[in-house]
Amino acid sequence: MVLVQLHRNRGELRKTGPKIQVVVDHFGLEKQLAEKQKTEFPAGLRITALIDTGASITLVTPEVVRTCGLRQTSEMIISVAGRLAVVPEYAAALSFPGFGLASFDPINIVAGSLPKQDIACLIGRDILQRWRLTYDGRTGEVEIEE
Amino acid sequence: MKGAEKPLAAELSIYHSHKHAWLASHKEEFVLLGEGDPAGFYTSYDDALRAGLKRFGLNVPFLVKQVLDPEPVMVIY
Repeated sequence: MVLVQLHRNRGELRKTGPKIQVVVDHFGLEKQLAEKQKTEFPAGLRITALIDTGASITLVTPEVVRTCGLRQTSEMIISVAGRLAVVPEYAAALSFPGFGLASFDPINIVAGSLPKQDIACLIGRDILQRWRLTYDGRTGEVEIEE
Repeated sequence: MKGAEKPLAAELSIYHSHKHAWLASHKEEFVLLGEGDPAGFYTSYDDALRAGLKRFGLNVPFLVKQVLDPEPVMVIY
């Protein structure tokens, strides 16, 4: 069992929500093939993510997709901010360095804008289905149990 | 100047034109499409992705899409 404690400050949690550092990268099989073919991919990108129980799928910004050079595999419809949008889907790997949590490799994620926010990723319920998340607004503590 | 074509436009078009036929025999499976042709059906996203890399390599775009009707709408509140 892995137990991760993310916050200890009540005011900070109230203001920013539960955040976690995540590394977005090419999925493992793609990296293995690239290594065999001596093709270089950009290094994984470390970004800040918001754990969002209201997101049914994990989302990163288009800038993250461009920087990492992720492979688009399809597109899907999302309902966001009162409207429907068709957004691209990408194959990726997500890891949580320093936390001891298992990686998601491969994982199907979507791209979408997160304007005027200091995050570049929403961790959705596709990831949360593998965790037990405890949010204690009284103490400011957030725990992830895997 | 002609605008760049949307990525995977041809594969998505093939998917939508064949979807109703595929629903009868491959409902909820993941179809792999590349270079204008269906390349197989798989029971998981991971398997379809693996097969796509093996068949098309690093530089050829390919589509992996679950055969579903209606198309799911993912909600982000």
